[in-house]
Amino acid sequence: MDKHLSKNESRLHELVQSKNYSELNSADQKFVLTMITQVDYELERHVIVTASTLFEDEEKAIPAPLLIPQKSSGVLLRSMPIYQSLLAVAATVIFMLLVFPIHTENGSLVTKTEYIVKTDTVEIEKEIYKYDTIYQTVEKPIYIKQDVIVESNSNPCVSPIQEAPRLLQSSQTMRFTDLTEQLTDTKGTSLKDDNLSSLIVEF
Amino acid sequence: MSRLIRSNDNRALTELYARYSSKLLGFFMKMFKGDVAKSQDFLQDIFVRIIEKKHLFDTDKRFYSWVFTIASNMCKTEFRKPFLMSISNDDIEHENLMVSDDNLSDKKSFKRLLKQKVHRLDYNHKAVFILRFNEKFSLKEIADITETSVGTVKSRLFYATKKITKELQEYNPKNDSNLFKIN
Repeated sequence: MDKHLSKNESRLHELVQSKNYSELNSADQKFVLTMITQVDYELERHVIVTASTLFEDEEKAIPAPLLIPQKSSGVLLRSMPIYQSLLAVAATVIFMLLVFPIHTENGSLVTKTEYIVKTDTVEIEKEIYKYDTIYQTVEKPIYIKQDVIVESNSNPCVSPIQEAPRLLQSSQTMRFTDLTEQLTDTKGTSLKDDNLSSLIVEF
Repeated sequence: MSRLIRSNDNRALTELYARYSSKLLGFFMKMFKGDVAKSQDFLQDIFVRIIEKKHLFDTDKRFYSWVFTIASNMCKTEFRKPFLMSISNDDIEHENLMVSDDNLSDKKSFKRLLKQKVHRLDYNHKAVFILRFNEKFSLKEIADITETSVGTVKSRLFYATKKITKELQEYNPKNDSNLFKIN
């Protein structure tokens, strides 16, 4: 990048652009010689003067006829400034946000919670139905089996497990009264009165 | 004229083309090393841009400067393409032959050599040099066209001239002094 010119550089360049060395007054010539030589000044001056007529051939070139582009007939094909395009985009975005607002994460959570509550209510009703079904399906086949057992008792055959009742025949019974009394007598002899017992104690 | 430009009147465009087409074609040819085909394309293109961007034209400014601002920007974009900045070997060989065969005192030879040196400048120096010494714009107008300050224009002009003169100095056997002792 070029640095900005000092005062002397700027003055020198203005002189080179405007005057030949021979046209400079003595003060300017002295100033120029403090900066560059006379030959250098004249060469630079020659470059600038020649540059004005440097591209004579190019300036003689004839431009081709202008091809005017067809005007865009539709609104969509018409060119428009950038700020108008940006305004149109911003307006579209705002309109879309108003029509279709963005759901935040909290909002979606609330919706889900409500849905779960509804589902729970349905489940409770189902449980009630299940409870009723249990009552209905409970049957007692056991009682039926017992009935069958009762029916088997009505059979005259004696079960081998059950013994036949043995009844005493009273006509053949003998009574031993003394023995019975002796056996049933609860009154005993004390130890001091019993001789046999005293013998045992002494032994 | 500015009112006609703002309206979609084709007569305005035709009038503009009649006034400025030669100048613009010359400017493009100077910037693109005399490439006629490319310059004619750019000339058509710039008038399409004038139609498209007519709403950007400031009526307080000169229309001539505004047109050259568009032209300058088009050239700047084109110069960013790398193949334009490179110099082919053929150019260099041709340049050496010219120097060895001809005498610098010969005006035609000097012009040819000077033209080559101008074409070898980078965009910033070349545009300023041509706008100042060929198109005869003032420093303020060049600053507007190139969208820089007057100081920058002065600086670019000074160093462009210095660079060209220094390169021409190398081919002058009579002169063994250094140019611009200021640096």
